[in-house]
Amino acid sequence: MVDFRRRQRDRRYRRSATAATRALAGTAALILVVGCSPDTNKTTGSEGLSEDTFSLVLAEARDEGAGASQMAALEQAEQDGEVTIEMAREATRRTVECIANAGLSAGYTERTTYTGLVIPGYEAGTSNPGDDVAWQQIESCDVAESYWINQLYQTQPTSWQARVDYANLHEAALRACLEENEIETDAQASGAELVDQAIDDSRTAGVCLREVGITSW
Amino acid sequence: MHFRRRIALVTGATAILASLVAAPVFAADSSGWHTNSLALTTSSVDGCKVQWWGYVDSAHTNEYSYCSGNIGLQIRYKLYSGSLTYTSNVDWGYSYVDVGAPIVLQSNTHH
Repeated sequence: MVDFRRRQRDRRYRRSATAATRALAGTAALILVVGCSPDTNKTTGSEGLSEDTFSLVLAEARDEGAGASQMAALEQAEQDGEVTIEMAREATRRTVECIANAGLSAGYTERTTYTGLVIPGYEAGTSNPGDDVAWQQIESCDVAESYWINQLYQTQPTSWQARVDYANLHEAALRACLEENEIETDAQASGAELVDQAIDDSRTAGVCLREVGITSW
Repeated sequence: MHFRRRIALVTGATAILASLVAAPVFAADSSGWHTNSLALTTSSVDGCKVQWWGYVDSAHTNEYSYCSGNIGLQIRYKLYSGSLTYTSNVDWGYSYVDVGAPIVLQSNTHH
């Protein structure tokens, strides 16, 4: 079994204070946050996202500048219980269009992760890396059009399960790499647990996960 | 970069919930952009302990305090030829993300 705490991660979202709160509080005042939300495990289906996750992401997206199209996509995803590849593609294309409309270089990309998940993305560039206005524009477009859709798409339960399955298939290689790096392993540990163990030590995270092709966990 | 910083200061039973007010433009807590380097850097993002490090052609980040939520990594990079510096969108994971590119200049950890 994968570490229980990690299994819960996609079912809970932190709520924290905004910078505006902090600004209001003033530099000498307390900055307060709301802690982790209760893990009620309310799901919209066996492969759907948690209702709690959706409500929290929607609230965060609304508060933090998501545009109307992204909000509509998030609400649709909430109804459907998942973020589809087409939703992610459309959101990313809108981001590219937004960046291009600002006069910056931007192109749509796709790549396939080690689990076979296709991830829409973009390359946005500037000839002047010191041009903060350009970077700010790119980030503004990302936040408005795709930031939360992209995050949910990559971390929804089906994506997570694919990672666990992949890790378990590569248990032997992970174990061998950890032991080569003088990390003791539990003989009963699954591949997913060995990934957690590798991540706990930055030396092995970079080496052993790369060795078996794991680029995110 | 002017990503908003949100600092967790939960003081056990005495924690007081803040009233949240409307936010400005930029979303999500992040470490801010930092030079990609072999040196392991530890920090706190969104009240969670994170660390990052990198090689010439990759950047890595992980969260090690069992916080809920996701961790994301975004990079600025160059190709082997050409004058542009690019930025990627955010790659997301639960506790670890590794992003590669020909020449990684900077990275930014999100939570």
